[in-house]
Amino acid sequence: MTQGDSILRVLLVEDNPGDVMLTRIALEQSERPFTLDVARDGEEALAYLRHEGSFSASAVPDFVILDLNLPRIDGTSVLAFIRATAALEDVPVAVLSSAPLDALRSRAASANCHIEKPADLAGFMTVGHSLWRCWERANGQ
Amino acid sequence: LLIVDDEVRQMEALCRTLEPEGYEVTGFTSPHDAVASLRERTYDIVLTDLMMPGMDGITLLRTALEMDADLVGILMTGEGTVTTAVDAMKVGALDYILKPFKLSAIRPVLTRALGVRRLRMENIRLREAVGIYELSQSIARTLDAHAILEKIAEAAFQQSYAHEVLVLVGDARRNVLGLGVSRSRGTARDPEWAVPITDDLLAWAARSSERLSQLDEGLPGGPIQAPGLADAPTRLALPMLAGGRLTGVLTFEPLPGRSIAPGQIRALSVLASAGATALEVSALVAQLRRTNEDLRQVAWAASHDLQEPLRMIALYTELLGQTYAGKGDAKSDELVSYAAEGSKRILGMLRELRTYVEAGDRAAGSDMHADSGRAVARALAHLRSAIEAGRADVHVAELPTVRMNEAHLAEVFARLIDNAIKFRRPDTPARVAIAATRAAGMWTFSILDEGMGIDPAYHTQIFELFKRLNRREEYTGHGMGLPICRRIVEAYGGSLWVESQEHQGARFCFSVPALTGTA
Repeated sequence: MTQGDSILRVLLVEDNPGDVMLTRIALEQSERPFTLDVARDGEEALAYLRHEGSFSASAVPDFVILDLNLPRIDGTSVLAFIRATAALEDVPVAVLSSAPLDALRSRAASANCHIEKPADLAGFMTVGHSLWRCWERANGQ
Repeated sequence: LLIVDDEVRQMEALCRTLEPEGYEVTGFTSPHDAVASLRERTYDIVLTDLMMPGMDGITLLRTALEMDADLVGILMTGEGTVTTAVDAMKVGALDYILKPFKLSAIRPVLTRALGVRRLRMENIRLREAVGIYELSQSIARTLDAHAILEKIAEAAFQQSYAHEVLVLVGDARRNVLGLGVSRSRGTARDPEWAVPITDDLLAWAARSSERLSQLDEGLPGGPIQAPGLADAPTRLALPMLAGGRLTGVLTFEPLPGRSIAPGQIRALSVLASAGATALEVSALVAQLRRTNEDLRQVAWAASHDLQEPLRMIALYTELLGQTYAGKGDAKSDELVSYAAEGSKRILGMLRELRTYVEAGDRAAGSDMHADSGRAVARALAHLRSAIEAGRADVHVAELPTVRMNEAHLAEVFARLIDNAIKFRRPDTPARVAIAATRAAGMWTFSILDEGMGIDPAYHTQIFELFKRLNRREEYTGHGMGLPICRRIVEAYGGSLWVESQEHQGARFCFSVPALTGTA
């Protein structure tokens, strides 16, 4: 692993501020150090990943957490862009969305894992654990 | 009876003799006048002289038969030659009489002619009846408006032997009659061709339908002209009325020199109104489908899109409660818990509503083979904790394989067995019996319990959305179980009902199509 690797750079693509806050809390349940960048829609996510505009200084993320139902460009297009871009194709992607799992799997088959957003707090806190497990598995841990 | 003879005395003598016999006689000395009269009205029998100036009797008969193929023609001739007789028969004459003849000799000939005419008319009616029956059968199986138009046009073209047939159809707002479908032996018409629906046209339609229904034996010949249809073949125009509303007009241009026989006009007018009704039904069905689709979208949006903001309310109310638990005044924890409970309940209701909406589309494309014994086992596994809590004894008879998706069948069983356990008598273990009987290609499953039962007054209500008969504090659930079960079963072509009296247990039954070819 390269320099600065102990702090993971996580990109969260999520339009709902409530879910952004809950996801951050859920990720913080683990001791693992991370920084969280947030893209608020599909266009912003693509700009971030392409280092365009205000994201010219953005680095390649270590982990992408992706909502599928986004305004303008939706999550499936963002996922397709990641998988089709040489510099990004190996980045682990977790889909975290509010449709049933079957639907998430079929809409975003190339994601590393699929998690349905729970409607209760205890459930949402376990999402943090699931997301980190997803990252670990993608990195052969 | 039409008599044509260039000798006035002969013609008048015939008329005088035959009128008292009960014949309605019209006589002409000019064959051309006779032809003109044939165009104007219907005759049963034409009795004509052979040798006449201007037109011979054979030509006259040929012309008359072209106008009405079921007319009976008789030739009077002074030349008793075989060739004349053959010529007469060739054009379709029924008989010929040698002149001079005694008046008594003509009676049996006319009696026979009248008999033939009656048979021919009866035959027309039979043909009409069969044709219309077949057509209405075929139209009844059709809901596609264009296919109906094609069938009307084809049938009208076949029936009328016309040069051209147009089916004109009113647009959605009934402002304009446009060309629906046409059949022609000549060049096709401009598909954009259209005429406005005017008050004149509507009045004409009402008038002609009255006229057509009053006439039994046929119409006076000649064109039935519709106003505003100058460009259309308007030798014959028939309104297409459904429930008094003009849905279209059927127009015909006969082949040159031919007309459309009264019997045919009657058949065609029946065709026009059968077609009008079919088109009306097809339009209503299309409208119903659109309305259904709109409703489905509303239901989908309500159950799907509302869930997101609610999820936020539920999560953050809970977070609020956890973060500030014991930090506010004594009441605040209780207030927050009510808010959390309420939002959770709405989320549950929305989930059930979504299940209900989706249940209607289930049968499409699913695996249609369910081992119902296995489906019940799945349901019981799912209900393990409820079975333990209710100390339930569930007896399952031998169950068949049916035409339904197994997971969907398991869901129906799970919800019905859950109810049977939930609504047991207080402080009594639940006893449930599941069985199946077969009748008329359907398997009927019954889930019988010895629980509280349901007053027949509520047998309709329990299938309504979110309807509950008991207090929420006493029984869990959203009041959607039965509507969802019914919707799933109906999606597979079955039905679901209840047989119960209050305090005497309940029997819920549902039928599902059997697998074809199995016992």
